Amino acid sequence: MWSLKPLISMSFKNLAVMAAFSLFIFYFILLASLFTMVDASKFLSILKSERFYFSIKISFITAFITTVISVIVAVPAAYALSRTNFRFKPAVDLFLELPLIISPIALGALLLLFFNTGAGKLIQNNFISFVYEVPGIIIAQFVTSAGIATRLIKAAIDEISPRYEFVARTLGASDFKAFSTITLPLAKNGIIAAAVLTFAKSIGEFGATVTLAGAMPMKTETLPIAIYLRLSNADIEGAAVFILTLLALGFTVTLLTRAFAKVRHG
Amino acid sequence: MVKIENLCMDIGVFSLKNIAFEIAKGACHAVLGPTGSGKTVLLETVIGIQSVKSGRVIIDGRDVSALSPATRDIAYVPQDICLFPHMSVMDNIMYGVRVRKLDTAPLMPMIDELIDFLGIRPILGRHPSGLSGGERQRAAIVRALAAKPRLLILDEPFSAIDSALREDARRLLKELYARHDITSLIVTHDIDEAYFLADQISVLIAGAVVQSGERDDIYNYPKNIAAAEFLGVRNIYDSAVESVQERSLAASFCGGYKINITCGCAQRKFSAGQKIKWAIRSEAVYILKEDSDPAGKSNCFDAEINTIYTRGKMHTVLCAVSGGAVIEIDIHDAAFNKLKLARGKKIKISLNPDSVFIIN
Repeated sequence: MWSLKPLISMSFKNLAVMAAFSLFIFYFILLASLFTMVDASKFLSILKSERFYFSIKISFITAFITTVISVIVAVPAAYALSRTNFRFKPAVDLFLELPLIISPIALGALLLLFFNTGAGKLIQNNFISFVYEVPGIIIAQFVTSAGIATRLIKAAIDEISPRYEFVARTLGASDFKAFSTITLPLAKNGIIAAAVLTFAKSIGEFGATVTLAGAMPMKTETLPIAIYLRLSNADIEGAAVFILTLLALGFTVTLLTRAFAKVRHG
Repeated sequence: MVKIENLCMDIGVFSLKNIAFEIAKGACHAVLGPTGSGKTVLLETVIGIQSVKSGRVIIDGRDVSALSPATRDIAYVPQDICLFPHMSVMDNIMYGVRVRKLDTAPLMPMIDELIDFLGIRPILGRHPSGLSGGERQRAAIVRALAAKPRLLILDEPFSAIDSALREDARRLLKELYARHDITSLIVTHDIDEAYFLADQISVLIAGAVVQSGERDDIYNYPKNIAAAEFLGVRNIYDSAVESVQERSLAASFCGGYKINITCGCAQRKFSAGQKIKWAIRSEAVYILKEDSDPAGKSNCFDAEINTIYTRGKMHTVLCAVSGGAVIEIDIHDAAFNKLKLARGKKIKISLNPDSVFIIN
């Protein structure tokens, strides 16, 4: 007969460790199940396929461009949010949470709707075409990651005493010189960590991308879209290979981020 | 010469109100005040990090109130020192010279002298993270002085230094001031620090200067109750003037006693019946020997010891004067033992009329 007595008699610490270990087992079983779906020869043949190579390439290129744009926008934005008081700052701060409080598919739909307005059509017809095109992947990734990148970089800048800049300015540095020679180098590891996470989030972005750029093989087929397309065609083995590839990338990025965080905090 | 003229500024609910004082060339002025009095805000306003609402900051005849911190010619050493952690000590020192694109050659002899005087040559290649509080502070002072500023500002200069090393650091800074004719403004909550370093002191309480003047005047004659209490005056009493002479007055005290107070221009300032507050520092109250004759001595009272606090070689004796008032007396260990003071002992105390002062 089942009894709760052994559980109740366990110390809280042991119960907590058990909960953590249960989570690990849960995820581990999920991951292990992937390996039952694919054999080595199939795995290698997918890795060598042109579609796999295309997915990796398009994912890396778009994620890289998104990361660069996000960091370029996020660094000054984070600095402004951390160091200055300006009108509507609370509203700007709130909107940075958009990627966290709205699902990616809704963000993608927002973009799609925008490109159907007059202003959106003007951009589409005269500058860059986003809908069902590769630039659409980039803007979809940007919209889901820029706010988070800004939030992470702001946290890094918040940790640096503004007095370093005050001192630099009394020593003759302009506002920009104080920022570029003092705050920026001190926030370097935080910015790199934010960039790595932005890259990882962009690589794994699906909802906004599929809504705006579509799921077109060999055109807008990023890694998550490739998984979606393979599952749609009941190609379970193919999907498993792409999932494993995403996982390997995800773990690498997480470990890199932790390494930077460790450097940052000594 | 540095002049702070009626400086006002608001930051949230806090404001600085009509701050005014002058610092002569080569002099050190201390702004002394409790935590939260606005000392750091005042410094940041003088430096240019906070904007003035009204008033002016004038340095050697130039109104710098509207200038950026970079062009005010003021060097600043904050409370937490703030050596740039990603640079070596030498790069920290040369930062101001480099960003201002100054010619290094004419400045190097002075910088070298400062480096040697403050003993930081062995640490020039090191980064701040491995340095002691004293080393970081000395490096920050050299950095601040490297580009020859017109005013050096130090915020709580010794707070990052272990108490055992603080006295050496104070002496070194005092000697540095004398050698290099440095015009300096320090803010501190430490009364000893201000008295040791400064020529003039301004007492800042709740965003307003309650008294400003020569160091000894501030110590001996706090003008108002807020300044007196902050400066450690414990014996403050309400009283009424009984009679006035040309350079002194007599005021009522508890139990029908009278207190004689030396006071220049007493007749012009006071009249019989006027309510006043008088005070005396606890180290200026004397306990008479048991066999001494109080006749001829001014302001002698009978008292009984209530409480004794001991701090190392100093004792603070709280005694009740017949009539109820409590007087606090600081006395050195040698005198304390000689007089065989103990709780409950009846004693005679004397207040020198020259040490008693009237506060507003």
